[in-house]
Amino acid sequence: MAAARRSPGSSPHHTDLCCRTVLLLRKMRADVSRLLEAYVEKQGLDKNFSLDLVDGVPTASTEQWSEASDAERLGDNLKAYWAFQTLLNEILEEQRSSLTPNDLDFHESIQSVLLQVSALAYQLEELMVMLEHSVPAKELEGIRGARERGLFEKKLRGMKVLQELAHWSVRSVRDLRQLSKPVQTGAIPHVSCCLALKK
Amino acid sequence: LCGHIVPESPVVPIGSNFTALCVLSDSCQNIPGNVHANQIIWKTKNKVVPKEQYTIINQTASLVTFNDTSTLVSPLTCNILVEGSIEQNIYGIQVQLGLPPEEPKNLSCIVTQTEKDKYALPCTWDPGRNTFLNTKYYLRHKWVYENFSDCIPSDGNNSCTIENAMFFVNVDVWVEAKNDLGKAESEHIKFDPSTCVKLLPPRKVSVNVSELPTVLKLSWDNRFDLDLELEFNIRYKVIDSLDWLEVPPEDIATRRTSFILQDLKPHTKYVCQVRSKIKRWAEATWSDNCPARWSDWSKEAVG
Amino acid sequence: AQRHSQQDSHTQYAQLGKDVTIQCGSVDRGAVVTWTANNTDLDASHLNGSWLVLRHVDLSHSGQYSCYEGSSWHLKYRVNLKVGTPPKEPVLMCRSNNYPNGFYCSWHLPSPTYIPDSFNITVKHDSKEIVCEKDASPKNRCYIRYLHLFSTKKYKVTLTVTNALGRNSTTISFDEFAIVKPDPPENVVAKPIPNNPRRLLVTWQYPSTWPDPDSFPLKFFLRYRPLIIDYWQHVELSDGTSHIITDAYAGKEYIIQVAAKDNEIGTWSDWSVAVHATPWTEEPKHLTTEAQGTETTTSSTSAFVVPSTTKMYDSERQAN
Repeated sequence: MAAARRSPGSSPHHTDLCCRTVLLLRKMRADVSRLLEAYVEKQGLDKNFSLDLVDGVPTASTEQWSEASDAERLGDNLKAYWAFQTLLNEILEEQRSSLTPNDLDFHESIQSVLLQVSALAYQLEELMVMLEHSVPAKELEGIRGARERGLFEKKLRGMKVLQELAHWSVRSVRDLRQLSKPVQTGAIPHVSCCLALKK
Repeated sequence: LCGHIVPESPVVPIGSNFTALCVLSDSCQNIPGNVHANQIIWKTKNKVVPKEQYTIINQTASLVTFNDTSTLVSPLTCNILVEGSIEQNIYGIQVQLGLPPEEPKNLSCIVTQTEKDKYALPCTWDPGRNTFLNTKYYLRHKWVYENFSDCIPSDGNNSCTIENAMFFVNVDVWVEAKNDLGKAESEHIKFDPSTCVKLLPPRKVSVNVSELPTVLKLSWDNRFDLDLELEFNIRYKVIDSLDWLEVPPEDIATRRTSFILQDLKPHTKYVCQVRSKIKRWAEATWSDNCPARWSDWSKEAVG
Repeated sequence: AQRHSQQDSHTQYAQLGKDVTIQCGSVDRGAVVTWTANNTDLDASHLNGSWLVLRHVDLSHSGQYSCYEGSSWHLKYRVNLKVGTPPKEPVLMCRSNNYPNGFYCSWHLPSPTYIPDSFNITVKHDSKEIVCEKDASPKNRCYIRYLHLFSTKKYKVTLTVTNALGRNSTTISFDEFAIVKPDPPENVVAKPIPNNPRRLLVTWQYPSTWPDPDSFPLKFFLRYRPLIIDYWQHVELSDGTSHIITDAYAGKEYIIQVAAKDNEIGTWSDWSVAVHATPWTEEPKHLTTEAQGTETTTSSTSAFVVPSTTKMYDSERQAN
């Protein structure tokens, strides 16, 4: 595991940034869970549908989670949220144009989550720069071209996006938590992410 | 038309100087004979402007200069004196006097909880001096990489409410003022809305007698379930008394929904109220740009 | 006469409440035989030729049945009859109390079958079968290691139970996050705070089964009430493993419990063991703590200082 170079001590601003990102993740997760429930109901889906065949969505599932380096963690997170920005934009467009054209409140809640995802992406990028990690290139990996999909496939895909986003928000909190753990060399954590916040 | 004045409808800064030009047109049926610019008489609201302020440019153009705008009253008219001292109006303009907007000051925002999960961001500012002009104020806010639509005050010019405050993202807020004479921008304040919330007061506040005559059980519901720590104030008094007693804040500095009041006068009715505030979590100084506020006191509960 | 008993013992199962017929091994149906149950002769009314017929058997019918050839008392056949029931649908529960290492599944039958049952469990995730490592004890439990974390794909666990009289199964499916439930906090201790008649200091520790508190912090829920009053008060604490109760009834013995939950996912643990404590009072009060044995409070000899618990409040003061 490439040991991230950590300079000693972390400034209040750094800690705040990490804290704020964790709080944003938790808030987003609550909003996404509510949105997923509304989404499933409005699209007439069943929450137990198997979505295994839906691809092109960044999956939060990972195998060697505890061994990843800081750079890998943050980089994976950043790429995922960039992808979610694109996917949520697509979902919003689909809802406005064909699936729920008149449900403005519903569109607003999607828009709100989209804003949170873009804020997350920015704050993660800021965190990477602060920790002197190289920010990955922003290529739309995994997002296939706008192949025309059927309505039902669009619905399922939207459900998969929200489901994975909810799981990513948990993984991201755990990843940020790992940043505040000294690497084996016992260096002082660069960021003390005040994760155990109040609630 | 026998002529016109340039500029057409000027907006002129108070205290500055101003010049206007009256140009006679060739074709002017109702003024016989050959007319010359030196026959022009400038008036401000029917008061003749002293000749010293005139400058004849040529046969058809006369300039008038005001070194300060105190005498510049609308309308400013350009008139011709024809035979038999009859005055003929050539043209007139409305001059707007005013000032460019000052930099709006003392911008202050409070995130106000309007419903359980809804938070608005009302901001107020000091618009500064009167500009005497139609001055537009815009409350602007943005994230580093995301711009949002302006908040335009519905009435008055010193406050506006941004409908949805999004937590845990630093927002940059400022006021922009604009009128015909210029624009000004307030200082920007940067803060995370979650650091400066004024919560709705606790609700369902109830007081229950306990097994002991000198003890009351106070309980309530919080209308805030985000991930931030709460602190409380509790005050209570004998009914009809004016003197409130207060529970030491350090005793109620964690998230809770009840408190046991003790050492009370037995068999006596008490009035209690609770209020709450989000405890500061951010360490960095910028979070002082918008500190948290206490909620209003809850409804009174009697027990 | 001496019975000869060199005969292999067979086992036969019978369903509770049903009729049972036991044949005397290969002896002709018409032969004259004698049957014993646990060495007690059975009267002829139970016989149908050489077959033994038992009606609406119950558990007391379980036992050893022997068949002897009438005249020679020669043991022809011996069987162990076991009366029981086919298994009902088993109750299966999976839970992770040591997230993120893995989770265990445990099961039980809603009612006993009285005869040996065998259990077989299969765990599937992302259409792959995962090994469920059987625990030495308790027997009805096995353990699954997480190969992936943060997966949205559900786990599907099927438990099949079989015995001689039938077979049943149950399947549950769940999300990785949903089954996370820590064990209760441990070593809960409550102590009075000298010179503070309304305060109690409560401390506790993470459950020892929780593997990585740093990466996976828990939050806690504390409830407390005087023994004499049936009204719990609750405080939720998001970090740390101690809390000061600030509004305890002066002089009343308190019962206190703590529960834990992962900060992000899952459900609350059960309540911890209850501990008792009484706030500090003038005279020393003995402290009884179920978990910790008795702790005596020595009343400090320091000057008795009653903290000003209430301040006059200037109603105009609006602190911000």
